[in-house]
Amino acid sequence: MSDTLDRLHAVVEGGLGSAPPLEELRRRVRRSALTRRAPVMAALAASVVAAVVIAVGHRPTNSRVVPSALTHAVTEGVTPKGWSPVAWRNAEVSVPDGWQVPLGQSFSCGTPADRLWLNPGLSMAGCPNVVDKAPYAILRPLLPGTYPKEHWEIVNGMTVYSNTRIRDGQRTLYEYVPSLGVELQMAKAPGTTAGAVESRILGSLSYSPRIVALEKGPVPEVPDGWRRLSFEGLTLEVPPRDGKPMTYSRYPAQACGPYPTMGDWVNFDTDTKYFGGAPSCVPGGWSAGAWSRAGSGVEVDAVPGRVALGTRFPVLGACSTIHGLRVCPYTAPAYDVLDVRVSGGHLPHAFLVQIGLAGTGMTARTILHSLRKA
Amino acid sequence: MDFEEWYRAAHPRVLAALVAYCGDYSAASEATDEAFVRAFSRWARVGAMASPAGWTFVVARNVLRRGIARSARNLVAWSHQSSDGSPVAVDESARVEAALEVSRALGLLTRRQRDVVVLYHGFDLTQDCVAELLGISRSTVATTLLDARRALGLRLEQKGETCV
Repeated sequence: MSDTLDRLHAVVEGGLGSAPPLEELRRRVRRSALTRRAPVMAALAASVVAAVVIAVGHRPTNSRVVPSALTHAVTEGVTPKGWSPVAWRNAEVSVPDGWQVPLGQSFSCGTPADRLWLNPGLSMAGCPNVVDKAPYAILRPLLPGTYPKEHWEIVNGMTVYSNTRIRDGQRTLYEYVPSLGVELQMAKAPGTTAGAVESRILGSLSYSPRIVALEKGPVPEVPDGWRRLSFEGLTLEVPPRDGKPMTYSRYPAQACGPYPTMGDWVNFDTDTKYFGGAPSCVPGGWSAGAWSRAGSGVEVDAVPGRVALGTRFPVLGACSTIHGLRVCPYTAPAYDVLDVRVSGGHLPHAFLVQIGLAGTGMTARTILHSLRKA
Repeated sequence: MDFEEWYRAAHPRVLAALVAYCGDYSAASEATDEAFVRAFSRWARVGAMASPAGWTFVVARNVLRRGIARSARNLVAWSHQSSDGSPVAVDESARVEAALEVSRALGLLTRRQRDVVVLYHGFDLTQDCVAELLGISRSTVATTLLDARRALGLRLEQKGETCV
């Protein structure tokens, strides 16, 4: 007991970092005061911005703008050569091949689960090392109205607001993307020049294939050669797997990861790799070299406990009815995966269905719209 | 008390306490910055308090609970270097880890217990001072400290049993 309290005392006494220059503090206080006292000036400034925007032909907006997904929602060709796209929630960015992409809950030190780490360092304690292991990036949900709007630019057709901070020699860029509902943080290592990596990551920012899969519109036809699968009363169509058999897997109980379970669980997986992207049950935390990307397959879970856990995540997008089934997309803790909860329609029970988001999202859309009661 | 002198000494302490409190360095640093902006603009009153650092910690904690929303609303490009302009990453890494390690232990406590423990043990404040900052009675502070110690003690016992 006293050890913890002693360490707390030592941590506070030792402190962290150094105070920002006082001049910056004064400037910020002046700015806050101006903001409070001069709404007319704010309106005037907004008018000026609007005029400039009209003059250059762009229109920044905070409203969620989802383009016609079936035609061009996913900006193709923005992934640099030798890089790979990572889809998370409604956003997609690309990162250099070889970067590790662990989920927040992959770390053993209570890191918030609602964010995705791109190439973090790993401390001895199993925490993300955010101090001297840059370059790294973080994707996290963007709360409306929580970001500064002084600086903005148009990236792949989307308005991106930006901000920069330097703390203890480490420069961090904050990019706020209201139309995707995400915040992208990027840090570069102390002593290195600013960089190309950050601007290329930002340049790869795009809509997730998830949006294509979920947007209302024409239902795609199931291509020739696809297979119809049934599992405990639910049926769906899946792409061919080059002769590889569909796998039914039995996993042991797991106490960590996105879906902790109390007992064994069974699912089927049409993909060749384990879904979920990041390792999530590594004793002592995440370790390097252990993540795999989801492909174009499907994983269906029917274990009541896992389905119930899936409903804890907030719905992200609109629920819809597909062949009489209620399908609700939710905020998947994993990446490269569209997670939906399927229920109703006289199904024997609810299902969690995870669909890989490889490609443009049209494959996932086709699989999603093939769901029906067996 | 001179603000600048106090500010240079107190900022690292408040940031460390907040990281230990919440376990999120990024969120803690933003909330700490915002709290010091407020301390600066109210310095005549804050500077006369028994513990300006304790007050600033409580403000930062409140900012944190509101999800940084209000701090970010007025955020402008704000950058700074270490005092001599050189990176201080190596020592800093160990200190961040130490703070995060403490935050894991404190994670077993209730929110109020953490408030009281960080102010009382982290900032070395008296129970009267903690009570004033949190707007609760001294007896509540004493009881909460007792409960917190018990919770941390229970945790160690459980850990010992598990290891056996």
